[in-house]
Amino acid sequence: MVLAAELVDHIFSFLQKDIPALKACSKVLPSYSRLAERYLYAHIELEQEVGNDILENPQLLVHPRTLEIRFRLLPSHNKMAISIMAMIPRMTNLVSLSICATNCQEEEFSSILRNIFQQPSFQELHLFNVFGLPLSFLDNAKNIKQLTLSNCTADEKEAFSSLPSSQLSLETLVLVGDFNRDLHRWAMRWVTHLTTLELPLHLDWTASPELLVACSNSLTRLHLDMSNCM
Amino acid sequence: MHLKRLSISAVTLWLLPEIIRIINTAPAVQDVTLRFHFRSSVFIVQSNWSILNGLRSNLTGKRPHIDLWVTCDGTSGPVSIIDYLGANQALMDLVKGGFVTLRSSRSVSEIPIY
Repeated sequence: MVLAAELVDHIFSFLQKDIPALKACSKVLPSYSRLAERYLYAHIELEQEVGNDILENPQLLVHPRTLEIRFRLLPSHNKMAISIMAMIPRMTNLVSLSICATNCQEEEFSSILRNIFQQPSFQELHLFNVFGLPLSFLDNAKNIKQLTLSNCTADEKEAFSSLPSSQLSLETLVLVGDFNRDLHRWAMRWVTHLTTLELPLHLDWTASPELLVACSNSLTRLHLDMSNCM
Repeated sequence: MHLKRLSISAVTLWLLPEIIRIINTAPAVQDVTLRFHFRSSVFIVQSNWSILNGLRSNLTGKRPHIDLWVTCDGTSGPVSIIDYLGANQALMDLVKGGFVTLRSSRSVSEIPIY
């Protein structure tokens, strides 16, 4: 007996966090394989096997909703991640992108990054240990509602524009790590409609009150991390 | 200022007076989540939790309610942390008065921010 596709799809929806079970189910029938795809590739932490699947089967590009890319080497030494990033504009349902541990100074990587930040489907962007980030790229991330900047640094060579060319729809900003004056200056321009802010408090508290004042009319949730205040 | 939910993470109760001062400056805050992580359970018992009594009523006419999450290195789990907290009379008075709710978690990462 073969179950109706709607029922199988509903059952698979409960297995979203159980990838081995989904993979086992997908081998039962070709139709199950197609149904399982959208759950198997909905939340991707990029590693070799998944990366190969996507590169070899472009039809899978419609499935990812969240994508996490963790660089262990410079971008130029991580060809697969660069190839996947170049395909992000075709991931039309991608809502959340996380990029961990990289340097934005390489031209190919930087160029791809500039393009994908403008992707209309993006609502969440999480950057961890990203160094030399051109802040003008963030200015063009118009649809981002939630932004995490964790231990990131700005591109020091980039001229800082005091007036952004467009309006961001940022609602949640999470700042983690050491105080970075450029990132704070950038954030000051975009927090006027912010509803949620997560902020580390350091020994240098001077910049934090400015940021809080800038978003005080819209903010409804605030998290202060005082773990480094000893 | 429309701030309704305030959450603060810290690793030492030395900051508690400063934390209370911050909370008291928020005119509309209703719910406060405090997350403390201690290196030793000794700090939990000996800490002066009565400083939490310094919380004032704000423009809503009420004192903000505190959800207190405490995690600690070297304890066997959340139950034992609750036991340590229960040994602190000042804190228990605040709990009985409905001003503070004790929450338990095995690790900091499991604690919701808000």
